[in-house]
Amino acid sequence: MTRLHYIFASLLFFSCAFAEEAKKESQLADGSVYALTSEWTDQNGDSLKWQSLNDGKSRIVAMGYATCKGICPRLIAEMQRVENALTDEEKDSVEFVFLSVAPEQDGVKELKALADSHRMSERWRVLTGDPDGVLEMAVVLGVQFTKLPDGVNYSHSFLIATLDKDGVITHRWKTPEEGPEPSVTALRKKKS
Amino acid sequence: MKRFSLAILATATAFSPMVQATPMAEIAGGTYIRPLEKDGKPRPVESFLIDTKPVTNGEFLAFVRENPRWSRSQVNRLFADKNYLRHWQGDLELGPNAPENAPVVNVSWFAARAYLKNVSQRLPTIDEWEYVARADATRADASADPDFKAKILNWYSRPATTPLPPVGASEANVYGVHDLHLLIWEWTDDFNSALGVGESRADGSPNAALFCGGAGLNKNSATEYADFMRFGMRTSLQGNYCIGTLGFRGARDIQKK
Repeated sequence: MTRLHYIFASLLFFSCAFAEEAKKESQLADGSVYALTSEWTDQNGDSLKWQSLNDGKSRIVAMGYATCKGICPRLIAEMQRVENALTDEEKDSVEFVFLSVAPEQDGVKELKALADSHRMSERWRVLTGDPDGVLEMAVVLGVQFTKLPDGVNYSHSFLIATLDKDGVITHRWKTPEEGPEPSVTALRKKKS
Repeated sequence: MKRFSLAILATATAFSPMVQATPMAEIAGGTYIRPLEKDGKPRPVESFLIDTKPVTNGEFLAFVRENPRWSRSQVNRLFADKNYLRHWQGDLELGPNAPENAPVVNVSWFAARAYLKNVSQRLPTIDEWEYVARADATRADASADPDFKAKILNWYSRPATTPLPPVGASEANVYGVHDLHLLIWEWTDDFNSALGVGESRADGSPNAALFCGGAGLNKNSATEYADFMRFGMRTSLQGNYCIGTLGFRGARDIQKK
């Protein structure tokens, strides 16, 4: 390959890469939560960009914190009810994400302990981030939260969101009494 | 009077690359009791800076010009609903319903944060906003005065005018801050924390009451109805909501020397 060929080839390569990038940007569905640019760390200590989860999987998402004795165990158990309601085939295209509202106290160790104590399957990610990313995520999902005056515990709403494969929120499970069925139905609903 | 220095800071100009920055007022910290909290525990508020006026249409237009992804036609619906800047004539045109000096409204929480990040500011917290908003022209805390609250409540009950009057036209409060009341409602950074932390939870022993997110507001008396409306409003918001009476202003931490 001559030098000129080489230059042409690399130009071609870079313009393709660029076009691919631009396509990706515009491919983001309107209202997709993958428009958020925050970064997170999971229960294995791996860091990830939230946008990298725009991988075609549907997701069941909730927020809480590791030492929560209130609503969080219930939230996780309810998410597992959704998981158990799915067929093995369906499970392959769904992920379960639990995000901490308390990054100042939830490190990798706490996330791992939470995952273990709830016997979360390999389809689960438990994530902690930075305060700004946490706030934006909560606002996008519609989770209300506040630190309590004891400085340790949080008050936060019961909310389990269903995201379709494009990251668009298709259902919000807001009261425990509702049960898992509407979330499962939302997961199964195919885009027309 | 010395306690809350009236210093208006012109230094803010240095942080804004685009437009003549609104002067900020320095608010000396202290404690206050958040309206509607029955147990009335004082909350600390650190000293901070706050814009003396809300952000205007003209200022927001300059931001949109430099950041087209925040224009009406390009914004992601995740960040702003379909009412975003609806009172403007076009993407980059204000038109008759959006005078340059009137406060910008129909902006989402995300849009407000993006604008402020661009000028090295942030939204005030609920506590900061409420702390400054207790003041009238002569008192740092006028909240015990029924007339003060009646005036606010009376404004809440009136429909908004179109177009809105210019910012800074009303009398400044004792800190030199205009328009906290009687012009528009304003976004706060932690609006989604207003979930009615009440008696049972404020003592630090959370319990099953966590189940009921926004249901815990307890209004003490009729004079608190204005506060009740403001806190209720916040509870009802989502981050992408754009409302014709809801705008924002900037705040900033005071750099520790």
